[in-house]
Order: sequence, then C-alpha cells, then structure tokens
Amino acid sequence: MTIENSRMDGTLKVQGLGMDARKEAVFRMAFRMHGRNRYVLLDPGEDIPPQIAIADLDTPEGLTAAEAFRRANPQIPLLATSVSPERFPGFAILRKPIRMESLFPALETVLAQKTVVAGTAQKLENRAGPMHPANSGTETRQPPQVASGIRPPDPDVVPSSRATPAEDSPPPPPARAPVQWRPESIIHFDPDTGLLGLLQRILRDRIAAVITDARNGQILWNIDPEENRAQTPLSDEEIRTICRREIHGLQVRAAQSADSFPSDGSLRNTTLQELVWQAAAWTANGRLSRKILANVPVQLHQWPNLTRLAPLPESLRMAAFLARSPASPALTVKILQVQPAELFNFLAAAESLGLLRYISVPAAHSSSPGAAPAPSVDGPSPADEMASPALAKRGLLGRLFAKIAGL
Amino acid sequence: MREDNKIVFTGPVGAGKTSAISAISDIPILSTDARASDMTINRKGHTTVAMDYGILNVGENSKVHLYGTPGQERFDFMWDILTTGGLGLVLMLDNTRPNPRKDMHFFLHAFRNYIEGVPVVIGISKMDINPRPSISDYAGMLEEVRGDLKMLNPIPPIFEVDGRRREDVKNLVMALLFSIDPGIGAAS
Ligand SMILES: Nc1nc2c(ncn2[C@@H]2O[C@H](COP(=O)(O)OP(=O)(O)OP(=O)(O)O)[C@@H](O)[C@H]2O)c(=O)[nH]1
Ligand SMILES: [Mg+2]
Repeated sequence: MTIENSRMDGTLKVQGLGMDARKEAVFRMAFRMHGRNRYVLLDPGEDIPPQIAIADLDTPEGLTAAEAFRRANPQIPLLATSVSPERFPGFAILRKPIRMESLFPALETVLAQKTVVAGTAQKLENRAGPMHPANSGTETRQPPQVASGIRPPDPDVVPSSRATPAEDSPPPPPARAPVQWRPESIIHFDPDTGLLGLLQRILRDRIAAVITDARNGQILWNIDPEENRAQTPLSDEEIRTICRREIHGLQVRAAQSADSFPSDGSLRNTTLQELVWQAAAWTANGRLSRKILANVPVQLHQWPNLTRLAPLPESLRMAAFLARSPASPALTVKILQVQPAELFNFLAAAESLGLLRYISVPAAHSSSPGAAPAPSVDGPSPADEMASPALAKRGLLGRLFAKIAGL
Repeated sequence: MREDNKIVFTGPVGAGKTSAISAISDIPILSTDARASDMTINRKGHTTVAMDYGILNVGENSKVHLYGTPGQERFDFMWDILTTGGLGLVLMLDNTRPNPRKDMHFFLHAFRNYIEGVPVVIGISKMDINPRPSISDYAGMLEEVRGDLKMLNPIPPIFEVDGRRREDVKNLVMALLFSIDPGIGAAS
C-alpha cells in the first residue's frame, strides 16, 4: 500500500541500516545527484515504511540491524554492502567500494526481485549484466597512456549521447594562418646584465641589498630576499623603461640600516619573485635569452606560481606544455602556435626564477641549426601525440575551457 | 547518468574546498551537513561531512560536476564514489596546518590510482596568513612525496590560491585543463 503511494509521488523511500551520519550523507548526496529524486533516504527516526533498505554489514550493528530488519520486514528488499561479500552468503550484496555506476543498477536489481530469499547468496558485483551497464564506458574510459604522460584529448569527455549534428562534424578549419617560425629573425639578449642581472644576483646570494641610481645614488629598490620583499617608489612604467634601457646606470650594494627612500611619494611592495619575473619579461621584450637555444629542448622543473605573478599571455598553456616534457622553443611555437615573442618573454621570466632545466642534445643535433631535435633524443616528441591542437577545441573540454576562461 | 565530466576537489579540513567550488559553481552548492555531535575533529563552524557538489554549465546540455570531498581522514567510503572517471583532481592544502608535507603525502597517496589517469593541480591556501612553506618549498616536498607515485603529470602546477577568490580558483582549474591538453582552445 505505502509502496504504491510512494511510487505515485515518484520516490522510493530508502532505509539505511548500520550507517553513521556521514555514510548516510553520502547516500543522500548520491541519490540527489542521481536526479529526479527517485530515491530518498529516510531520516533517522522518520516513521515511514521504506520500499527498500541498504545495510552496511561491516559494522557489528549493521549486521544485527540488517538481520532484525529482514525478520520484521521479509517483504521489503534489502541491499547489503560489504568489503567482503563472501562472509555474508545470505544477502544480496554489493561489494565496496561502492560506485555510482554499480549502486543504482544494484538497487534496481534488488527492487525487481522484490524479496530476497534467505540463503541465496547474490554477489551482485559478479553479475555481468546490470552492474556494469554496457554504456557506462568505464572500462574503456582512459586511452592508453604513452610514456611521456601525454595523452590525446579524452574522447570520452565529449558527451556522446547528446551530441548534436554540429558536434559530430568537425568545425571548419581555422582561418588564421599558422604562426611562422623564422629563426633568422630571432634576437638574443643577455639576462645577466642590467636590472635583471642585478636582481638575479640578489635572488641567488640572498643578501639584503639596495639598487641605486648610479648618477645620484638615490635608492630605487630596497630588497630583502629572506622576507621575499621588494620595495620601490617607481611606477611600472618607470621600471619598464629601466628594463629596456641600453645603459641601465644602476648600482647594487648591501642594504644598511640607514637606507631610506626620499620621504615624498608612495612606496610599493611586491615579492622579489614578482619583481624578477616582471623585469625578465620586460627585459626580454620579445627577444630570446642568450642562455636558451632555439633548437635545444628545455623543460620546466617547477611551474611558476602564476596566480601571484604578472600575467603573461598564454603562460598557463606554455607552462603546461613545458612541464609535461622537454621541447625546444622552435617545437613549442610550432605545436602550441603561440607567438615567438610570447614564448621568449615567458622563457626569460621562468629562467629568471630558476625554473628551467636544459636538456643537452648530442652535438649532431645542436650543430644543425634550423632543425628541431629528433624525437628520439628526448623520448616521444609532443608533436607526435598532439598533432592538432585544434582538435581540443571541440567537445566538452573546449566548451569548459571557454566557460572557465570567461568567468 | 554520466559521471565522467567531473572535477574532484580534495584536501584537509578547512583548506578551502567548499569555498573554491562555491567560487566557480553555477548553482549554489549542495553540501552535506552534519549534526555537530557527529563531528569529532571539527575545528571550525562548518565542515563538509560527506561531499560538496557544484555544477558548471558548459552549454549544449552538458555540465561539469564539481565534487568536494570531506576534509577528514576517515572517508574512504565516499572517495570511492567520487573517484570514478573524471577530468582531474584539485588538491587544496592549507598553509596554516601543522604539517602540510604530511597532508600532501596523505592526499596524493589516497588518490594514487586516480592520479595515474588524470592530472592533479595543487592550490596552497591561507598563504596570506602563513607565507611559509613557500611555493618552492612545496615543489621540493613534492619531489620526495611523489617518489612511489605514477602521476600522469609529475610536475603539477602548485599555485597560491585563496579559496575565496574566484580568479585564483579559475586559474587553478585552467591549469588543470591545460594539463589535460595544452592545445585546448588554441588559436591555431
Ligand atoms: N585567510 C584565508 N581564508 C581562507 C582561504 N581559503 C579559504 N579560507 C577560509 O577558510 C575557511 C574554511 O574554508 P572551507 O571552504 O570551508 O574549507 P573546506 O576545505 O571546505 O573545509 P572542510 O569542509 O572542513 O574540509 C572559510 O572560512 C574560508 O572563508 C585563504 O586562502 N585565506
Ligand atoms: Mg567543506
């Protein structure tokens, strides 16, 4: 009677047995996420007859409660759960860990049988049918991984069941011309000179220092590497100008307790990392650091802390790519289709914070300018595995990207 | 029901998982609430007992589910429900906790099978309160901690992230997407 009533409002009341509040909360959440509120877990003390019960047999109370429930309600189906189903031959039982994919088919199975005959062991996880619906896709979800950890865009994240015709057919080829890699137009710069050189020295030596204007001795920066603090009265515009000066006219000396800025004007505090990163990108200004060769692979051995550093265009993308496997600047531009100037600024900034690792290439390769290193040198080339970045623009991953980027 | 389009947020109690999911979810998040008496190690007013759930609507009728695990350490049960399929793992660590290295070790090992197949990104919260350990300290810790792990991305992003700041959470999740595929959204 109640069964019919409940079914009319579309819900099935579920009694939890042998579960603490936390486990009950998980089931409640799982039921909510299952949609349409088909299953509703009864609250403790709620006095409504359930249509089905779920018991956790791995606690002594659970087994007792499940047995008592079955004696009192032989007509109500009961799904038991346990880490070792073989210990409980008398129950329809789902092996833990419980997964969404198996929980709901198991509930349906038990409901369909209405009652469970005591003594008939049913190890639900062993049943090929409803426990692993053919369309769940879990078995084939992950494509095989390649050695470098690179994998193609996961085809499974494209929602196949709802795919519209537009999704099935590839979008028209992108109109933009591919980014040109022209080695002859690369300009190099020396990161050890100028403001950047001084800053890196301070970062390396970890000694509190001031940077002064060589002409008048005025303090431009007061830097404490231990505190990771840099203080300056200069504006971004002024700093950028200094970074791009041919003759920088700066001096550095150890900080003294009497050091102070002119009292007029406001001071800005940044972390030393922020200052070095920004100075490196401004100094590079589209040029490639002399320490990095266009055809020699580099790798990030640590990501820059991009939430607290001046944003550089495409830095997340370039960081992800260069953290994955080593790649030369030439290859990176070719594959990611980023502007060489963007890459060079990023590399200069990453290098200034000591985040790059240089991968040595046998002489035969480094002496052939213009050629990207042979894939065999550094394991599989990312080019092999990511032939078309445009692929990823399609499907759910691409839409998710657009969504997050627009937040 | 498809469970593949999901991102799992994990980390110790109070690391900012619930805040981070709220910062980007399209719906007010669903959170599992506990009676206070059930909580043994509750150090703050609200804690997630079982999980948080948020949604990112990404058009064409599809959604990305955002799941937050509880911060407590007695929850294998829930994690098994959470970690089937998915896009990746967001690990939030709290810089004011006594032993963040232990937390990092614990959570990466608890999810060791999961992160063989999906990338992980690490957000360090509450650096505004406690600046140390620094981000590079964490990078050093990770080198030791990941020794016996087969992570899909052994060099994951480690960012300072204030769970309350959408921009931070957004960058962390973007880094996760780029870790799946650096070519995503490329202007080629
Ligand atoms: N100062 C500071 N507070 C933060 C930061 N991130 C989160 N919080 C706060 O820290 C508290 C805990 O955040 P929650 O989002 O509830 O943490 P949680 O990881 O969900 O915690 P549990 O559910 O207990 O595991 C909240 O009051 C947040 O507002 C941060 O970076 N700095
Ligand atoms: Mg929470």
